[in-house]
Amino acid sequence: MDLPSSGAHLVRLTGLYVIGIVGFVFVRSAVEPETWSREDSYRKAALEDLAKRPSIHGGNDSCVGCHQDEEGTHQDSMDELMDGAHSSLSCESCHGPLAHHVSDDRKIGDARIDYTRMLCLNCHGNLVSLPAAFPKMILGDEHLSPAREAELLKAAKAAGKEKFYRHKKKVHFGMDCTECHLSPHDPET
Amino acid sequence: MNPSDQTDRRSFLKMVAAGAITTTVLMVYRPESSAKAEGASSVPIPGDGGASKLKHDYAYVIRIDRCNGSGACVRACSAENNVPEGLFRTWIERYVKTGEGIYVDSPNGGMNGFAEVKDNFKEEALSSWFVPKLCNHCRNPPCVQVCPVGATFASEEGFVLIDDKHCIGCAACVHGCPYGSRFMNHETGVADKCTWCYHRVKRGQQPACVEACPTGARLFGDLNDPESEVTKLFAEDEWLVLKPEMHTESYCFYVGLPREVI
Repeated sequence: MDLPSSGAHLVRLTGLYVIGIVGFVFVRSAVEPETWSREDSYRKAALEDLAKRPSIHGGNDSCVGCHQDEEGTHQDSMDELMDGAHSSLSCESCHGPLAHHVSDDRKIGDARIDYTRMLCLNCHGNLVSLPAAFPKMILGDEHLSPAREAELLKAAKAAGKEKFYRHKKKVHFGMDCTECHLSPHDPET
Repeated sequence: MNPSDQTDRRSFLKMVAAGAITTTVLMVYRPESSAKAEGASSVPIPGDGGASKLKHDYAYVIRIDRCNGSGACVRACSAENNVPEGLFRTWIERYVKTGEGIYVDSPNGGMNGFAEVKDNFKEEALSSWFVPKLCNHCRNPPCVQVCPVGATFASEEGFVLIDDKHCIGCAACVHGCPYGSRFMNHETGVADKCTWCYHRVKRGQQPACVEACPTGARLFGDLNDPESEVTKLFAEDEWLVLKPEMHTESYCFYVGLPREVI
């Protein structure tokens, strides 16, 4: 049998490399997406795709523009909100997102209004994890040890929120907060 | 074997030495020249007031002393971004420190708040607090590093985003995130996570969670803007990041974060 020439192994290796490189370049040009950035390793068009998604929430400013000619407009509610302790609240966090209520300047569904006590307790329940200065509702049906009571009263006094602590004596189980606090927008009404 | 092709030991060793020296020299000179090129586009220093070339240097601040666990953020995010039930782009964890140890939970991600959770630890709690969490949009993101196809990437302004048309659903990134911010979305079949509401920020709006937060515990802003609340809090330097030992260069800064938070 004829032996291969002395440099044959190099020729074969080089040949394989060339085939590999050519094959790779060919496959890459077929599968690489358009707008692909080789330096940053991503498809630049993805940024546009992501930016196109619609905004579901509109923010407080998007609510006040409606129902200007009726009584009890959204502007009135907003004024009430801005007056009281709840001025930092977002309308949509209680009433649901704008996109579920309005589309193309037309109403498509009712905004959610929760009249039950759970709306208030979601933030103001007597949770042990609440920040110290945050007003907590200690309801009439809650039983706490005297030491814990003293601690909470002290924290409430220190935060200047002692009046919330006194709810314990007055608020009855099963009562809705809105029976006394007529407007959740300005709870001190 | 052709006898004249055989080399003797000395010549062979000389060839090996020459090859090794050449390769080493080439290796030493190449990386230097590419490092110089990298220097121009290296990670900008956060909060340097615009000295870096970026137009925007977005960052997120969470004030633990203000979070009341309402879950408004979780609900808003879910509605804004079509997040399937049971999956979360952002969530709230509750930490309760008792004499026996630390208890952490996140009932339904905090979506319904914590008012109806049975265990309130009223007697045993030494201290307790809420920790909202989300994607940290790291400047050295392990998820981007591990993605085999380049479907997740860091945009120039600091957003770490997912190209859901390119993702192959391998979930390596879900595994790679030290914060557990990523998940596989069973409705779309690809990876998913918080985008800092990129679509909203591009329109000048705030992310949905920031908008919904009733107490101002969540803040989003541009560190290049000296008037931004986020810039001011960042400058006060009273913040910590989650898992600093992972060196992810997280861009979510927690103010008032207790040491026990993992």
